[in-house]
Amino acid sequence: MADYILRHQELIENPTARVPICLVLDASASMEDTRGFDGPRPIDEMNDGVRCFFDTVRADEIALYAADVSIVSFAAKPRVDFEFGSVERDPPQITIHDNGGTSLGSGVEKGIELLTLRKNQYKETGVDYFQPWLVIMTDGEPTDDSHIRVAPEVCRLIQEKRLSIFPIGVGAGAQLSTLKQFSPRRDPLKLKGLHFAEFFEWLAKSTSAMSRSSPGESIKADVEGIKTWAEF
Amino acid sequence: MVPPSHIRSAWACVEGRSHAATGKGCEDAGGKTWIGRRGAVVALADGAGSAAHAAIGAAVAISSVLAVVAANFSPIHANAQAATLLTSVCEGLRAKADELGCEIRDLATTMLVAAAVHGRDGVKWLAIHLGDGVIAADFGRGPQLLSPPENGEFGNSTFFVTDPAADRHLRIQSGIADTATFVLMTDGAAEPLYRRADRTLAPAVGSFMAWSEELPSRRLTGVLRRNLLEVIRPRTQDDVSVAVLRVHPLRG
Repeated sequence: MADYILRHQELIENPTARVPICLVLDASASMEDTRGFDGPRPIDEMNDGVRCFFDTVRADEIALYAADVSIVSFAAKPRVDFEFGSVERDPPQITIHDNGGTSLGSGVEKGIELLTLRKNQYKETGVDYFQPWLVIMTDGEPTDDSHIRVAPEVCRLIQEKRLSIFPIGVGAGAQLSTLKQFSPRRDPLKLKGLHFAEFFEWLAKSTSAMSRSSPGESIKADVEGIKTWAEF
Repeated sequence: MVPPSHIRSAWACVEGRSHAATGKGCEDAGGKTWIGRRGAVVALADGAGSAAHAAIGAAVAISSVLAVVAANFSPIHANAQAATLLTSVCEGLRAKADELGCEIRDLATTMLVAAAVHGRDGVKWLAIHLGDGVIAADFGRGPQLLSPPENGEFGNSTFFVTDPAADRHLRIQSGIADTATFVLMTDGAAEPLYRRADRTLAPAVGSFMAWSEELPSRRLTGVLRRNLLEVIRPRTQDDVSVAVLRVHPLRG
């Protein structure tokens, strides 16, 4: 007698919808400057923060399969430290670049390039995806004009709701006005001290919320969480 | 004289795991009604996650669309009816928004409808779809995809009856067939029932259709609900809803 219960083999599986996230991180020489204090180097705190991000996302059963992460570090030139993929892989150890300079625009341009390629891969393979996220962290003033060339394209993507950006300044030398050129909607925030871990934990929780969202659902920023890492 | 017909209609909605965890409640709604004595209409609606009163919006849309389709069923003039149908649904939503003191967008919802009536010429059918979710049909040659989900670029974007350009996204299909069986599913239920990459229906859709031949409507309703609870719901976070309509002439 039929029991009218579906069998496993009568169902199909769709890949988890991805949240593509590109971290564009300053790895110029100033990121190892302890600013005269006998404290940790910003680059080390940033690496710890990235590790915390990976660990927090890994601990979430949905975000683990949704988060699709790449990491670009930059000084005079951009360098891809982590190709797009799952956080099941170990995070990279981001090191200070040998070349001098801080080409912020080149770093952001590489991040946008990677996100665009990744979106095309999703489309080719029929994988659903959420609005891509671009995180920019820098501690100083750019040493070239690449940001002036790249910012309009980033702003266009944001205005068309095809990109979300998180611009973060680190330390007293960070020029928020420069970061603002990439972010027409959201004001850049300054990291409180070296609270990288708090920022990346907040980012992981935001990733989790986004990966659980359903059509039409807008994810509100966790303002209380932002207070743990941002200066106001 | 029109021969007697065999009509089955059933629907079920079950709250998703993420909605249960947050106490949000089920924001899908479903319904069915007769069209005279020889036809029926079934409908599902999935309230927008961003809408303040999504569940109410879905319920109001169902009630409006069932009334409009049952009163004005005419597959021959289906496209001409599109604007009327959308206007009627939005009027219902606007009245509810006024009552609640909210904006109509606070009642945003998708919509899936299938209707069929058996007559002298065969089974006249009508399918209406706006937003995500899937409508499958069998007109005697096996299950086929009738209306795929319409999403925006991103996985958490779709279109709602309350959108300013909703008329551009409303899909109405109609026809006449010897027999007609439909399976409607919201996006949550579609997760294990429809492969997005190659637009393939899961074999389970065919099982729902086969069961609609074997089971009376009340029993079919119970079977749908049990399968949603035990088999479909564990495979998604979202609310899950399915509706089935079968209109076949009885011969001999």
